[in-house]
Amino acid sequence: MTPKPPQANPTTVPGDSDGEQSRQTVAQLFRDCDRALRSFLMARLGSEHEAQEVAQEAYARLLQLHQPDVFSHPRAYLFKIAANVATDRMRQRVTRARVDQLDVDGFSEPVETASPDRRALAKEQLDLVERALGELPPKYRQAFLLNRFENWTTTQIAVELLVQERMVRNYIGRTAIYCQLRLDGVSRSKAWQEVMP
Amino acid sequence: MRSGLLQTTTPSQRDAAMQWVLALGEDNVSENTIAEWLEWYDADSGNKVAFDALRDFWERSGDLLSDPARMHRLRSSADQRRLRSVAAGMLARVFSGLATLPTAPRFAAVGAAIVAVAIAIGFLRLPSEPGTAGPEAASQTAFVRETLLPDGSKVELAPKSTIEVAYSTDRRLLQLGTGEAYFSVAPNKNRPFVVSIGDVAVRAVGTEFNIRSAESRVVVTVTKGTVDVYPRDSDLSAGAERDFTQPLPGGVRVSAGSEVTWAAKEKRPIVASVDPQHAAAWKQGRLEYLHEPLASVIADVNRYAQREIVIRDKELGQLNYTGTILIDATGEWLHSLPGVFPVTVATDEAHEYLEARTRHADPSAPSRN
Repeated sequence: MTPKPPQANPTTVPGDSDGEQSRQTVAQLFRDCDRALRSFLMARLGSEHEAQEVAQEAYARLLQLHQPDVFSHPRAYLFKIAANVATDRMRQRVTRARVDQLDVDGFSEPVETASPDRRALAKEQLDLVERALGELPPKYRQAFLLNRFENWTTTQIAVELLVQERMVRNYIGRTAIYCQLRLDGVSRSKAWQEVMP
Repeated sequence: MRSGLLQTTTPSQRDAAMQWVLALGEDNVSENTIAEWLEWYDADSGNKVAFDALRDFWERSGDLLSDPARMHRLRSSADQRRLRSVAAGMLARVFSGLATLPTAPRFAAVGAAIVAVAIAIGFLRLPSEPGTAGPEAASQTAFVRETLLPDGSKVELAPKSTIEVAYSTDRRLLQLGTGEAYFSVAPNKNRPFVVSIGDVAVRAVGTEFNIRSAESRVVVTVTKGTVDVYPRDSDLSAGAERDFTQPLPGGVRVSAGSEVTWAAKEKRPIVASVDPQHAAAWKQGRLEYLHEPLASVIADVNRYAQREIVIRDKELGQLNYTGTILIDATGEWLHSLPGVFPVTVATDEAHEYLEARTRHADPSAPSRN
């Protein structure tokens, strides 16, 4: 999706120096930070579509702020606003999930959790990831699966695998790196060399 | 996707990137974390590439969930391979034990030396089904661990029990700490199977027996074949241990259906006949006793109980107990004791206290239930 540059707040009076200043600052922020902002939001939200919406809202809110100190640290403010909006979204999701659980009669429509424009992994790629996971040491695979799919914290996994938490984060991280390298067509032995210390 | 770009980054960029992906995915992210991340992200184009590629993988790996059969395969492979890795780890320790021996040629060492391997069987866990039970459930006390020894013998170890394996070419020596274990011994007359517990030893050939050790009392119950129970004596030669024509000095030879009790105080074996079924009842979740000192019963129960039971008045430990305790209902059992013995039970967060009923109320003692 190609992001649209944020539009200046329509209520801004032309010639209003504050409004003009904020419009310019936000435009500059958009040029400098948009990639970082969307990357940050995708890491928080796990959805490109939602990240896009939240980013747009963060720009819009920033335009409406008129405190001078905002514009001495504009980037920090932008990320702070975006983080807050993202947190609200995540809370809404939890509430929605709880409401869905309450509905035992099956009247509710299934909630579309995956964003529509997300690039899904094709079946062949999923097969490749499954195979790649099998190529890794059991502790790596296990730490990854428990964290990614069973929502275990790294602390819980450390207790289960009898290793330090730092090692658990290494296992999870290297598993992801190995799998992505394999998806990129790197050979098994090369990927192993790249990942294992 | 900026396909293939991850390869262009350095391993340390990737490692850092993945740690940031995990950190930013946490429930609460502080402003400081965000600022630090941003500084890192902006500092280098390699950082950007690595972070974006891995964040993308992290999100898209969620598609693995779309195929239940695939997830089932992944989950069960993780569990089975984990068991195998435990076995491999044990073997690795056997070999690392060999590697560190001072004797010069490695192969001579294999032949002659004692391979001392501490197998902390008490800490191995059966795999828990991910998703059905969290780590809390997995670390609960009540299950039996079964371990195959290198010679084909089998040990089933009760919770909170530990055993050390010290196999050599001429004998199979094991050392049981406190606790309880059931042994199924692979026959080999030339290599006696000896379990030592404190100052007692048990020698077996092709036998099944149970050893329970608590409060300076060792109880050996034979369910199959024959064993010798004898005082452990460091002067005993390996040759004598290989001579099965007679019992060892100071010891007693018993067969299936016998139970030998060795109390540290008396330092001699007392033989009784028992139903062999009772000996290993703990494997089925029951503890069965006939005239057993309460102190020894409590020591057993503490291997299964959530809260440690403490006997406040020492003489209570001398009471004789006969009966069956269900391993998963030790709390109920304890609270039924005041109906049988002149005792009361007091409770705090981590303990249950057994006190004589005549004892005066101690104002500093935890409240009674």
